[in-house]
Amino acid sequence: MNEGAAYYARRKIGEKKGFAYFLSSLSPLFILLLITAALSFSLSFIISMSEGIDKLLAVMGSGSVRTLSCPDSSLLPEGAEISETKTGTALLYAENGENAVMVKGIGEDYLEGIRKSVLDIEYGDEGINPVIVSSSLASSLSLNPGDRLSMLLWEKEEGRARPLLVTVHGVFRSVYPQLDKHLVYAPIDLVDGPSSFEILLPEGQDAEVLVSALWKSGIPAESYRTMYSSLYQNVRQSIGILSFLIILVAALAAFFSSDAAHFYISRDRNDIQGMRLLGIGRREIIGVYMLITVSYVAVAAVLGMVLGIIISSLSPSLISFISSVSPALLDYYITSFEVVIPVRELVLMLLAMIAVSSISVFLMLRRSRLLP
Amino acid sequence: MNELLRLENIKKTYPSPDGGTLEILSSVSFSLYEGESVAIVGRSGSGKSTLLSVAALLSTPDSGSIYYAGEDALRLSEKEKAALRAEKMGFVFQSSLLLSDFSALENTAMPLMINGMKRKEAFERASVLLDSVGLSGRKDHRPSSLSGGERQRTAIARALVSEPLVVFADEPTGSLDEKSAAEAEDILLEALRKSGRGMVLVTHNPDFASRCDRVLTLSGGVLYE
Repeated sequence: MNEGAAYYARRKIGEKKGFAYFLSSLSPLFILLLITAALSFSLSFIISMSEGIDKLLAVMGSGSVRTLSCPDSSLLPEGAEISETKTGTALLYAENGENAVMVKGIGEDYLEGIRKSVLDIEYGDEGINPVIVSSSLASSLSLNPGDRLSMLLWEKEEGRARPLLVTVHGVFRSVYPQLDKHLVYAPIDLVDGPSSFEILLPEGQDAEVLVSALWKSGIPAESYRTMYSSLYQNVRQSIGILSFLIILVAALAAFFSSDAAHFYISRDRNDIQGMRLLGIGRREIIGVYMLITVSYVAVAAVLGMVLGIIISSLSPSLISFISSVSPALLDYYITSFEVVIPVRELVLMLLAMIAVSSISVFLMLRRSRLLP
Repeated sequence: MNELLRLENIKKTYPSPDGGTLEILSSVSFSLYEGESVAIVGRSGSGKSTLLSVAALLSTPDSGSIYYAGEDALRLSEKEKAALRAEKMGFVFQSSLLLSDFSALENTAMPLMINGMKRKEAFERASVLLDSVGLSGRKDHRPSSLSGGERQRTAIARALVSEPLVVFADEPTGSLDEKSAAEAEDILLEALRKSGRGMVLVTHNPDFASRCDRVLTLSGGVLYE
């Protein structure tokens, strides 16, 4: 691009112009800004929610990795927590109803560490056979900490059900009702059956790598992704399909930028003719108007993305509020999660918009017969 | 005298509304020499502006030849024609066609920057030229804040800044009042006389035409001396 074309482009983009000029130049891209905000919010929300669920599967399920024998601590990465557990099934009988539950026998330290940060536990008096129930279970049976109720615990090996009197020692909130609504934590010696060992990995550690290492050491192991494969695959596929759809919608939405190209070219029609007279070539005209249009499309898209991310950062509060008003609405959603900014997807979206707006400039110039 | 521009047997037609063709120029030939000004007059619709457009390589004739300083211009690519316009031609139109968002100084400097000159040097040269046309105090004004006469003087300065071989002027004083028109004519003819450039002028104004070295009349698609 020659000096004249570059100078023309810079001035048309807004160099030495006021804020009013900048706003009026951005005005045809207002809809694109809103669409980008909505897409960014959706992308961030979906990915954040999915990663939150992913994390909870490990914490609420059987850990990041589960084995049937206790591995040597030297095989585990720093920060990993290992707990012995037993699982069983039972029927809970409360004054206001009964419910079939899964009982997980745990040690004293099980609900410390990483789990403590994820599960919000309200404790009451310990009492006889203390159990900790989920908030969704407590809500359905109208239970409070300190309440006593009957549990009929199934002993698989004996082939019989054992009645127990238990005390609700605490109520936990996991922010994902779908995983916890039938879960009760009980002391490990209360539960009959074989032990398994749950290994909870700190953030950033890959469960599959540990599984592989354990197998090499002769310890059979499976990761939470295998244990909850259908749920995990559903979540991953949903993210994949939604991300693809969002990028596709972004590319289609970028056609709004053809309106912007039309706006800039129509606005400057006389100036383009003037520049042609002065000897500016075909390539320079295309280059100048691609630069102008792409600059404003990029600004609108980035502003939209920032707006979308700001709104998505407020979404955990919104979800919590909706959950407090109508819990059933959010049965399949986690109500507290860390907001993740999907940088790769946003960059792809921006590139798609830039590509489409560049093409629309070329087509618009050709149609307007302004090219020499 | 060196020949700057030569048109030979130029023919130009346009499609007519009834599906046929309308012959605007049937066989136009003329030459322009160094330092010479040629006025082309004729009735409205006789094809004067079309002739100017063809001569300036803004539109392609159906047949004929155009030579700039002996070089066959019709064989050039679009890119080469654009470069030729940038380097060897200047334009002054009735509506001035100044860039609306740019000051008089920026408008005048633009042809130099398109030719690759750096901004600082281009602005310095443009400033000198604007001084010579009496616009010293108006350089930073945009066309919307200039009078009609001032706009045309800016257009004249812009047409001359890159020292073109030929200046094409299409009714340059057509929208000006008598006083401004006279000033613009004086500036244009004086600048051409001093520089030795050629000018092809299209005008309805017989007084302005009579100040040129030659007057050609376009009628029926043919140019008459």
